[in-house]
Amino acid sequence: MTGSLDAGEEPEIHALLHDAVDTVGASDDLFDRVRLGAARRRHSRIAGGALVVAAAVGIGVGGALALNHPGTTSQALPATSGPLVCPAALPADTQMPSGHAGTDRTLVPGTPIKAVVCAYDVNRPSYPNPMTSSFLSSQPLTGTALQAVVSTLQGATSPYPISCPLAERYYAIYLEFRYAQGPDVAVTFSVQCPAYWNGTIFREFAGPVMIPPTLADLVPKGR
Amino acid sequence: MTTFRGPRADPSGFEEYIAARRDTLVRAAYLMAGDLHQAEDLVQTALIRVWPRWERISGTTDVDAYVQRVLYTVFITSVRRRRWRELPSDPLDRDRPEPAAAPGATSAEARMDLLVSLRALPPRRRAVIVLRYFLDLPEAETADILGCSVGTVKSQSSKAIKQLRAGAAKAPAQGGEDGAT
Repeated sequence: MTGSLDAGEEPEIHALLHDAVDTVGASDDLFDRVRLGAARRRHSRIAGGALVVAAAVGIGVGGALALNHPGTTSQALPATSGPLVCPAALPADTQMPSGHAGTDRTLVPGTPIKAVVCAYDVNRPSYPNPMTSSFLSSQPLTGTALQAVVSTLQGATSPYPISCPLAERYYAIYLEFRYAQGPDVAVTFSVQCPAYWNGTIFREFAGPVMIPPTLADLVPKGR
Repeated sequence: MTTFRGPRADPSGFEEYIAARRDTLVRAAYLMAGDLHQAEDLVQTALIRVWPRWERISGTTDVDAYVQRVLYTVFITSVRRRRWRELPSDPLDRDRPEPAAAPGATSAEARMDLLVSLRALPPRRRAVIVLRYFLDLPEAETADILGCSVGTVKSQSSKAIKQLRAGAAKAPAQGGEDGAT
C-alpha cells in the first residue's frame, strides 16, 4: 500500500491496528470466488441488456407489455419440454439467465404449474480445486405446496449485494419451475447464505430471516 | 433445463494482484466491518466490481487507491443495506476464533479493546481510521476515497481518535489488567 503515516501522528493507533489483525488472512479460494462472482455479474448484465434490446426493437406490443409486467410470462420463448428432473450436480455457479420474462425483477415470475426441488451436498474446497456436489434428494412440488414456495420466493425483494457462500461444505437447494408458457426458471440457495439466485438477480429476505419456514422445510436436516 | 456456460478468460495480472493484496484488503475490511465473514464478503464483492475494469485500471499509477475506493463504497453500501446485521450488541463475530496474538504483540485485551472501540465508531469514521492508520494513506488520498475534503478527514480522524482513547480509558475499569492501551 502506498503512503506513510505522518511523523509523530498517532503511531500507537497504527501499531495497535496492525497488531489487532496481524494473524487475519484471506481465504485461499478468494480469487476463485471472485472469478465466479464476476461471471455471474456479467451474465446478469447480459440478460438485462438483452431484455432492454428486445424491448427496444419491439418484438411486439404484447411482448413489450409482458416484459414490463413481472406477473406475466414470456410469450416469445417456448415452454421447456421434457421431464422435470434434477441435474446430477448443482449448477449454481454457472447458472445462466433463463430468458423467462420478469426474472430480472423477481425470483419466480408469474404462476408456474409445477416444480422440482433438488437437494445437494456441496463441497467447495480451497482454490484451485473445483466445487463438487452430490445429489441428495428430489421432490415434486404442485398445488398448494407449490403456491406457498412461489409466494415465499416472490417475497424476497431485497437486492443482495454480497456474494457467498464461504463454507467448505453445505447443503444447497435447486428449484426448477415449469410454466405453461415460457422457459423454466431455476432458483438456488444454500443453508448458510442469505442470497437467492435465479440466474439473473440475487435477492434476500428483509430482516433477520435467512430462510423462511416454507423454504427451510425443503432443506435436508443435519447441516 | 437451464443452459450453462463457463466464465470468460481471466484478466491479465488480476490473480497476481489479488494474491499480493488479499490479506491487506481483508484485514482492512475486517477492521471496518468487525466480522471476518463479512470482511471476506466485502473484499470479494469489491474485487468482483473491479474485475471488468481491470484491464483499464491496471495501467494506472495507483491501482490500490482504486481498489480501496471500491472497497470503501462496498462497505458503506453494505452498512446501509444490511443495517439489521449491525444491530446485535455483540461487536465481534464470536463464532470465529479470535485472531491469535503475534509474538511480541500487544495483549489480547488491548487488541479486543481497540476492536470494540473501533466497532463503536460510526462506519464512516471507522473507515477514516482504517484508511489513515492501517493503510497509511495520506489525508488527501483518504479524502479522495471518501469523497470529502481534507478538512473533513482531519476532523473525522481527530474525533475518532478521541473516541478510541475514551474507549481505551474505560477498559481498565472493566477489569482487564492489560486494558490500558
